[in-house]
Amino acid sequence: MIRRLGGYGGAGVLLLLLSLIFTLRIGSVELPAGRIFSILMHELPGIGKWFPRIWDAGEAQIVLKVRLPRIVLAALVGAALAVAGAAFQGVLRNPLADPFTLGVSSGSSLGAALIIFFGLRTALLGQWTLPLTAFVTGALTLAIVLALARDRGKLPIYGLLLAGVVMQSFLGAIVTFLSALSDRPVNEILFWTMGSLNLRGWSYSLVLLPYVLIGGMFLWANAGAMNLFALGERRAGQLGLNTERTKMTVLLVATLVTAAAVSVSGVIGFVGLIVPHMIRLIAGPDYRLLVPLSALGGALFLMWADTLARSLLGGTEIPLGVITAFAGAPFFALLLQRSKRGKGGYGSWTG
Amino acid sequence: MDWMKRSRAKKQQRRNNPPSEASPAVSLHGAACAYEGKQAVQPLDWIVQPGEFWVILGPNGSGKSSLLGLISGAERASAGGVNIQGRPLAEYGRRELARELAVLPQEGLPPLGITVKDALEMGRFPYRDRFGREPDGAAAQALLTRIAERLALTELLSRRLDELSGGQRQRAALGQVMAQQPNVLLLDEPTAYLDIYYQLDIMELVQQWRAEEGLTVIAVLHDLNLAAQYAQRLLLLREGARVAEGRPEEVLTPEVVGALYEVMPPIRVGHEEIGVPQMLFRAQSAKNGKRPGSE
Repeated sequence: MIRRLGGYGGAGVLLLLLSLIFTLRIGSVELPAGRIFSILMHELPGIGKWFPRIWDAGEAQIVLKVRLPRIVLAALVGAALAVAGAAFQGVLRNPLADPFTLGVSSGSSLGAALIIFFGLRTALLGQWTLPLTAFVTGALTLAIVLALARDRGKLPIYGLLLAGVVMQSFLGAIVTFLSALSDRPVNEILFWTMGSLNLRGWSYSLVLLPYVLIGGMFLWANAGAMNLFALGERRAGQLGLNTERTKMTVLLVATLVTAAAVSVSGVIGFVGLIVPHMIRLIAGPDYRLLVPLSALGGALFLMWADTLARSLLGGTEIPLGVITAFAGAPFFALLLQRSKRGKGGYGSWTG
Repeated sequence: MDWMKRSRAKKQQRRNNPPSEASPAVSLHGAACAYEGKQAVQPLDWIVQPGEFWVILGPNGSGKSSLLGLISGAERASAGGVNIQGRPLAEYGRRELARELAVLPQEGLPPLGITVKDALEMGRFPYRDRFGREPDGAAAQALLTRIAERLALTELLSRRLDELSGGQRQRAALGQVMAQQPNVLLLDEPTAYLDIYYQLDIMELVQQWRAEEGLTVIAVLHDLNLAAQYAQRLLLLREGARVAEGRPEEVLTPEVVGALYEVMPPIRVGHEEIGVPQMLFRAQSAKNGKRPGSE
């Protein structure tokens, strides 16, 4: 297990670093890869002095202040959503579960929509008003869903899924209503719900980082328990797992990680759904591999998706959610096709 | 190996030293189980001594599974109490209980995409710490290797569960249960979906394990003839209450069995080789196919 984790993980980290250089190159100003590498290395403490300045200040500005923060944020949001998705699929034992299953995204969207609709974007807390509100409404939605699903001290899976669906459609309707009432030429609410990483400085990454790190480690530590869930909750309980407590804490942490990601980036679909599936195809169904590799995979996936979003149409940004859906939906159709034929790494859901 | 010896020694010690010496493996003291007003198990006093092989028999809905649930902790007793190794069930932590008592489920392991090796390792869960580390990795590895050899799973270790037959999956499930190193094993109709070869296979493996390690076995079975071959003692349940209890040759009489299942009293014959009673049933049911309990 550890050797396989080292192999896949090493390959993933290498891909991540290569992708970093390549995605940094792409943009309105062409920069050679070697120069980007030198700019990055120069910033590292200790070895920075080995890389003398061969670039001008403007180039360093573009790399370090414009492109890098956005790419890092994309990687963090991708990692957050993919890890949360893997965790949701693990404890809910449902291949269609994703980080938004329990309605967090619609809760956050509602918070963001209210803030935008009433023009409060910079009220009270400046640029943080919207992310904070989105986080709080997302977490509140989770609390309501858990209360709805709770049955005699337990959290049955069907109850969770149904309560999540109900909340999603209800809150989604309010968001649509607000966005229909909005009379501005550019529909900001709509854009927010499609997800974007435009104009987010380093501070957004710093806010998200602890959620991804701590939340991710917690979920990884529960990977062994998620493996047991695959045997069914009853059997997992017989093997000594406190299934109700595990389900509760894993869902709670995964949802908070999701809410943190959504509150800085808007709703970016499909990452949390398909990245764990892709990893499952490559590395198998063991969650001890699946959780950390999903983080890497999600980071890679969203780095490239966001690069496409900002570069495909030249000056015009494509909403990130559109790109991930374009990439994700066909892939998901492919998965479905394979699962119909029965074999191919997908057998883990037949239980 | 050291750790295994130590744990073995500890188990031995627990068996030899008071108060455990006198304490039965499982005991029920007026334990009852009720859901939503319906009494699934009437208050029951029942003692299972260490190393015994019990089979619980009874018609559908007689409370067999609820009784197993009471012992495994899946159901909470609505009255009375259950002791495992002389200690109240409620005092056990979940992991602690999983080290003491294991359940072999009816359906075995689901056809997942995980390997047999992974499935066996899951049985070690109650011994591992939060990060999946064994207190003694080498000993655990040796244990799993031994289990795989014993169950003839060595060749299948890297195969996925969804590539195995139902019988092989039930073997893998037994391996997982063995990895728990329990003192008490509960079997919930473990042969329900198996052909005769695997029915005997599973029962024989359990029997061997019991003989070697002094395991206590409590099984729910539907097959009276299988029960008569393996059980030392039988517990007959009807409508949640005990009808009879004792050795198969005492309990399995045509009258008792006929009344238990509400069928024509079967013909009892002795098994030619091992002498245990076997039952031959007639198709027609006692009351024109109607069972009073099943409206």
